[in-house]
Amino acid sequence: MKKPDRILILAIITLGILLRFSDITLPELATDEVQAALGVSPAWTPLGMGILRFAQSIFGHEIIVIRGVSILFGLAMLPLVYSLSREYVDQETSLIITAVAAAFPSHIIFSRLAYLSIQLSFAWTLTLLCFLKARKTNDRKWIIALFFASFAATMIKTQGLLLPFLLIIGTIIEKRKGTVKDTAFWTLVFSLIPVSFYIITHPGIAATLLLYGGNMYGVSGPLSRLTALVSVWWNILGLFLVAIIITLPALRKFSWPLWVLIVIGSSIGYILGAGHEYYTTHLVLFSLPIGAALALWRPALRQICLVALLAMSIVIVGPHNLLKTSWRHHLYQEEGFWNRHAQEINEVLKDQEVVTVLGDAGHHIRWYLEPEVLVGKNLSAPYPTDFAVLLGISEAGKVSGTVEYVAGGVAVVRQGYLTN
Amino acid sequence: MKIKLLTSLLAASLLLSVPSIVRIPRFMPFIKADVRAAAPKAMDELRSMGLWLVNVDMKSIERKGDDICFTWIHQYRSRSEVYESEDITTCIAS
Repeated sequence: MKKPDRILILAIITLGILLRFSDITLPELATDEVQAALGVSPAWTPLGMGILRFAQSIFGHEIIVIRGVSILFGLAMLPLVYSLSREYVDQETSLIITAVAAAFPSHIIFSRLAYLSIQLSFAWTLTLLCFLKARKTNDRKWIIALFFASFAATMIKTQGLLLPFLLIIGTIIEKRKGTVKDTAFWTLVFSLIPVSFYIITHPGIAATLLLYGGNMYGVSGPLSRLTALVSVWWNILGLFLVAIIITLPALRKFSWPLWVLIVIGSSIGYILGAGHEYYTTHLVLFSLPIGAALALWRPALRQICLVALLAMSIVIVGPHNLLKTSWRHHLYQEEGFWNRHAQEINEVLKDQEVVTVLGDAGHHIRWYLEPEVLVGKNLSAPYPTDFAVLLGISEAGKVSGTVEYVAGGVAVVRQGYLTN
Repeated sequence: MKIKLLTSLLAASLLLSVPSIVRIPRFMPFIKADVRAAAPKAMDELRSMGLWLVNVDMKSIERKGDDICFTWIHQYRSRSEVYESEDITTCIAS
């Protein structure tokens, strides 16, 4: 690799690493981030949440701590992508691929947020790498690594079972009767046993699938799903989406296990809801065909393309006070409401042990409010607490009393009824 | 094929499944259709108390006369505190 290429790739990787540290505490915590941070969910397996709880037990219950876990997984993904690439292509191409992954906007964004998708993306990629190594070498250490990587993926989030399950199916299709003697096959099968028992004994998982199945989850309304998905991808990836489309033929260089992971990463947003932006984390695996294609281009063209991709990344996910355009990701336009106002609201509620929250109360409310929170939408007035927090102007008619605080559509009302 | 290694991995997978396997007895009553029908209603009762269902785990199910009674463990979690757990029982007429 010539010096200009090396310098450019090093610069992109360095900037990609630095971007993962930028604006960590700017967005307020989202409901899914808090659900993960608080360590309980009816629909998720426990490891991803447990990792966040462990970090908090050591470093404290702060936004920087829980999002710091994601930064670590996001950074660890880069050498992993390099290692995975080396299973297919030479060192130079692998470095180009790693540079693309480092600059990949959706992976940068979700390296800064506490969604479990960043942990899952890492675990899936590790599982894939171990699968390829185990099949190639039949080495004991890779077989053991495959088992634990696959188990970890299933335990980070329930949907983590998708990759091992589809690798099992793929092996059966590939090897047919020879599957029975395939060590990697049985390793993956055994790795799915714990999550199978977990699903059976945690009915919340099936209940969540039933609750959202047919509308949010599923394939109904295919055109609207596809439109929504493409719109999300365009807004979060920009030129990277163009690069994905142009370099799709380069997927031929790679084997079916990588295709499986890329298909999972691409379709999971379609099936489970494009509105869940965090599924775009998994699109970082497209850095492999993008990088493989770029490696074959003339150096000048490749360099222009890499600079353009890096520029796109900076525009979408660069430091929020650096360059404000309409491309800037919506979470990084301004500081989150609750980050700005939680302290003031808690000052009003400081003598309260319990409050009622009216409106669409996401789990983030339990993080930001210090008193215990009752879900008011399932209650009727008068509410069993002295204070009610209203999330949105539409809740105004549901409680009578004195408004003690109001900001940005959130109001704190001291109820006018007797509560004891 | 590495039989010994696979046997060890199978044992490991069963060991890792133990925390889930020990929960099976508490869910055995769900075999009955009336228990399955009563469970959502019992959860609606929890919602009507203003509770976050993520903070609730099922402890036991028993029949008391014509009622199916679900006992839940409720433990509220906030940013810096995990509250003491409490048992809550909701009974649904079968």
